[in-house]
Amino acid sequence: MAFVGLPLPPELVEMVVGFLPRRRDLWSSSLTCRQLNLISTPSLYKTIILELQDDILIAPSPAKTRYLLLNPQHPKAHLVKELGIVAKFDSVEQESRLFRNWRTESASMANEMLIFFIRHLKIGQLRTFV
Amino acid sequence: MSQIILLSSDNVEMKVDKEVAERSILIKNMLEDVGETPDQAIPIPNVNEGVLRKVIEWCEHHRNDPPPPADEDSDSRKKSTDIEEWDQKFMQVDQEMLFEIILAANYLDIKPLLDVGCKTVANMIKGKSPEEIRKTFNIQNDFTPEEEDQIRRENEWAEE
Repeated sequence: MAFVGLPLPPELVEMVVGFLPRRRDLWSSSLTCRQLNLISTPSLYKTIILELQDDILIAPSPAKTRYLLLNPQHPKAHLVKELGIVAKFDSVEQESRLFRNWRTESASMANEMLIFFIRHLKIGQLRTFV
Repeated sequence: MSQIILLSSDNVEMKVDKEVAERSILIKNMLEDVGETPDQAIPIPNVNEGVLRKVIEWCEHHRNDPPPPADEDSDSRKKSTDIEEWDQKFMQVDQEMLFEIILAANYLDIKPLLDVGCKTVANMIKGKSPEEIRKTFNIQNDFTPEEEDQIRRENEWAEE
């Protein structure tokens, strides 16, 4: 007979999930069964990092986090507690003027996206913003 | 070295050094409340012989460990799923035993053993697909197709 979730009480399943720092593992866990879904989902949404690549404007398929950020009506948006931007730029390209423009544009685009998202959050929902 | 006797749920007595048994905060507090080393066996009603032996084995090996840092609830503890080599070998047991050790460590309040157990389970989840996780732990998929579909859509951004 198969188990309904891990054979542990919820507080211990919570401890196990607490040892899963990678988003992909939380994603997998959230789709396993109801028990793991209930416990993994808040961790999955708790910290949202928008990763800016130097190709943010030209890439055909942008970083997936943006899909969530562009939809503040997302049914799980209320679970977001920490929001941040990480920028990774290629230093070799730094001197190109064209690239500098891209970089400024993508930074302001990211700003707009975050502000758009934050506006729809409840007051006091965010604990950290980096 | 004073010794005490523990009585498993299936009525097996085990003699252990007091120092070893006191890795369990539950037993430690119990002994402090009594005040002196009891002659009678201390019943451990939730833990059977096999599991209790295993837990004592862990406590023996870790009898001289320094106490855990005071800020044990901080996130730093959670960041690493590294398990020291001896503990890894110790945890190479069947799943039923693994979960029983976790439950016993929780009941007996042995925080470092509880952490090792939960990390072991987390490491068995890491890198797997939902289907592989179900297979690993023999978990039934109890979502309705509609539910599963909705979760898949909502969490789509995290699938990469």
